[in-house]
Amino acid sequence: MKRYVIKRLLIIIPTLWIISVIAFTLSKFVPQDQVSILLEKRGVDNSSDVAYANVYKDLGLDKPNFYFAIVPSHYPDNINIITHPVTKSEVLTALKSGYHYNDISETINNSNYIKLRLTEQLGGNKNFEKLRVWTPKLVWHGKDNQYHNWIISFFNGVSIVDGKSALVKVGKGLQWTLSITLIDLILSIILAIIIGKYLVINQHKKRVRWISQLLYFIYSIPLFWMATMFVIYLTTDDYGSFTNIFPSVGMNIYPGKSTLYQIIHNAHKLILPILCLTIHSLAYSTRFMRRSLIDELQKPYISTAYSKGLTSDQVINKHAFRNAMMPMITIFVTAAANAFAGSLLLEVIFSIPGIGRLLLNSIYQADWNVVFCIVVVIACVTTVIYLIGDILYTLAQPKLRYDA
Amino acid sequence: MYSLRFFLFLLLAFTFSCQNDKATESTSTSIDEVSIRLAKEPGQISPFFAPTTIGRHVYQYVFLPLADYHPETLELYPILIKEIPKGYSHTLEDGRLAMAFDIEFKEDAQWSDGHPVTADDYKFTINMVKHPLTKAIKWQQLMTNIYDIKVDENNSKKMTVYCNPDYMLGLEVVITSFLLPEHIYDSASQLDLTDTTQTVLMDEISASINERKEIIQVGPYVISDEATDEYIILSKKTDYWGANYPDNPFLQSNPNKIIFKVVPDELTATTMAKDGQLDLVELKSSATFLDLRDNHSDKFTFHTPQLMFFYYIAINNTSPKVNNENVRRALAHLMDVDDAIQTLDKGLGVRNTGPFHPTKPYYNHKLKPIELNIEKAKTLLDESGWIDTDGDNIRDKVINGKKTQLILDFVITGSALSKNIVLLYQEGAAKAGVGINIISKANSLMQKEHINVLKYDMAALAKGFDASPDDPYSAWHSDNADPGGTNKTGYRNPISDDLIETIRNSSDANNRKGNYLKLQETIYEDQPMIFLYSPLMKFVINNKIAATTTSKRPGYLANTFKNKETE
Repeated sequence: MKRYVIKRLLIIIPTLWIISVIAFTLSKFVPQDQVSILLEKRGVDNSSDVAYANVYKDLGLDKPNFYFAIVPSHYPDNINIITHPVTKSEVLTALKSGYHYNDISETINNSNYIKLRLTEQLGGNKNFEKLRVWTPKLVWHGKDNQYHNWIISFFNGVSIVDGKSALVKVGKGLQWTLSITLIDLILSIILAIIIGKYLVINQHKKRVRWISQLLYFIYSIPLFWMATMFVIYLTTDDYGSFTNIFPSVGMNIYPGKSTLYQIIHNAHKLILPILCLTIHSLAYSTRFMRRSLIDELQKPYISTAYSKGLTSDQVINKHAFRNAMMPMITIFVTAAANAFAGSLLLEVIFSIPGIGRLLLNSIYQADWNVVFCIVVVIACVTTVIYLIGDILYTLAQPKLRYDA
Repeated sequence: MYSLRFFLFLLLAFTFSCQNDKATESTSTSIDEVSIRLAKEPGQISPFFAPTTIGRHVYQYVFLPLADYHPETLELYPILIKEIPKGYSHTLEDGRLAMAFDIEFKEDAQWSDGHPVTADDYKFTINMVKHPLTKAIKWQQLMTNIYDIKVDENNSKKMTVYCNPDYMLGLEVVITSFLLPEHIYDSASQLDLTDTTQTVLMDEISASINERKEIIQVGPYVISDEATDEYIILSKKTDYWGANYPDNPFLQSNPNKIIFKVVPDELTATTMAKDGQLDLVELKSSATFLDLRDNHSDKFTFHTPQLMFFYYIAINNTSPKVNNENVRRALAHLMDVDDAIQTLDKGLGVRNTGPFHPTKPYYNHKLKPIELNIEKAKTLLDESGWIDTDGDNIRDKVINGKKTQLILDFVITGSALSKNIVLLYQEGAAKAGVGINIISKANSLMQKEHINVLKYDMAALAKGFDASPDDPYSAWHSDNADPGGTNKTGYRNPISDDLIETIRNSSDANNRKGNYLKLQETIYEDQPMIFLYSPLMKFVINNKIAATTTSKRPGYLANTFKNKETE
């Protein structure tokens, strides 16, 4: 078992590396101009070429993307040295047509160059020919590349929004999100087990059907709508003082206090968002619990247990329940990993400064240092959750221990 | 079974015990504190390095300029200086003509660490902005109009500023500048405009963009606490020198604290306001505003100052389909703007007919709004040669030997407002045989791929103004009409170019007014864009607070708020 856990922990490192490469690659395809966003924040018109170039270089966007590149031989070693997006787009079009970069560069540096007419001007020059046969070349860039800087920024990167450490910001957000998701998970597990068992024991009663239908109905309601309705109807006295049950949204401020202090003293305000999450996931978990228990109760060893004289409660609690927990562990582990996604909506609606809201704001503001930090942290948390799930399997099913 | 019942009982008991604890929450109805909603995190708080609209909500109480536009009169009003200077002509030592302004700082004006504000601080600030390595890019171009600053040798509070005599906004540029304390950032007075190797010093100054609690400034408040994406708390300075000027709205500090809470969701903000957790909320949704006004007038007061902003539909004047003024006028007749104001903003908007804001003293009120008139649009399009020759209900014309349909690429950002504008427009356009192809993109992409490079036919855009006289050069002069320029419609007209140059070279407001009016008439004839309307700001304020609002951004001065009961 120990060896298994250590092996799984070691696998986390290459897993995180692969996730980081994928996240970095995807970030390059996001249709967003980080430089324009920053210029807008500084009150500068996008059309200032000098300002654009300065910010472009400040952000390190002129460096090559990765440690190496495989490009056609007529391409430049690093296309990112072209700062202006319009010029870059024109150059790429010309390169894809087959013109050599040296010819393109000569045309752009010529005093007769007219913006947006690069391909036309290249075509008009008889000395420039399009390449018909393309051959690849391998270019080694070394450590001075954007991906490498991204990795380093996990530890010492700063947010471009406020200059604070990205890791510190993510840490604060994570505390808020975990406080909601952990309690939601515990509540969901307990309620799913209790309600699932109840539904199985009383499966022939009429009211069980109504409860099942109610749970399905609740599950079909979108989470954000449910949260919005709760906020409108249960936190104000607009519809009568008897509906004003829960504290109003928005966290109280305790200046100078730690994040943990803020969370503890705002605990009463987290009840409604936790309730939303729990109620929403209850139908799915309960259904699975019920199905799993019913399947177990149909197995031959259960008949043996009954024939030994055990009561229904004893059969379920001592025999069937433990075996029925195996698929439930899968459900709960998946739910734990997905909890971060659901929390984003709730954090916006309930104004909770969690990691979901931080991720959303960072993407809008092109604050990629923080985004990357969040991606890595969530990846870490997810892999650890799945590892915990594996350990729980061995606890629930002793046979597995020997296999591990 | 019993465990289930018991558990449910516990859950219900716990839930019903969570009554709204109004008694213990800080509701901020006392004027000790004013809580204001911010729709998003302002990021860096610096009028130099991050002069954003959202940032202004906060920095206007921490940083102060020498003078600013009074919130009520919208005229220049002294803040750090004794009076608004009058300019006079002067010849510099190098022979250049300049407009000179003699300025004196208030005797008691001081920084939050007790140092007096002096002319050396002003000189340092201007040189910092003008420096080749500056990161205060927005102001750099403007400050090139300041030629020189001479500090009085006998009185460090006095100086003479020499600026470009031909620049229309000379006075505004000189006196609406914020200040940085020289003794904090350059105590050895090393800053040299000609030295391009001063990267370390300039980087240190630029690093102040990330300061919050550490900021040493002249305003009535300091940032005493903050958490990014959550809140910013401004605390009133004790023994503030500005208390000697109780009538100056910029120097007042009535609330002990101003708390800005970041609440992105409008519904959440409204709920918090109803519960007393927010005292001032600016709403985007007119429907929500009117609903609150109709149903909660006992809790709030409602204010709708005119926002210095207007919506318009840009037309690419270089596009072969719409480069004819009759075609553009026809397109203008296809939009029912009054209906748009009613539909999109529930009537909370003011019609615009030209390139300047209706609150400006030189706005041409004689120009009649172009009304929805499908028949007139059809006639104008017929006259321009756009006729439906193939019976597909879309007009067409042969352009450069090729049959071209009048289907216009209409670019929008994807916001709810721009979507609604284009849908309303599409309705009218279809009736006149004009097709609209909607292209929706994120704002930065839209600018980069379409607007900046003039690759669009129409676009739903907005333009903001400040209280200073408008300089139409960047948006309307043909010098900037090429792709990549600041003239986003590619508009060219030699008559308007001449008028713009005359306006720019006149420092006398009365002389400029006549030319502003003529410029608006010229643009009205050419219809390079379809002017829509200027929305009203929508403020919901706790009715325990005596508050005034203003057209000057951000629309209110929280430092002037008072408790209604004690007023």
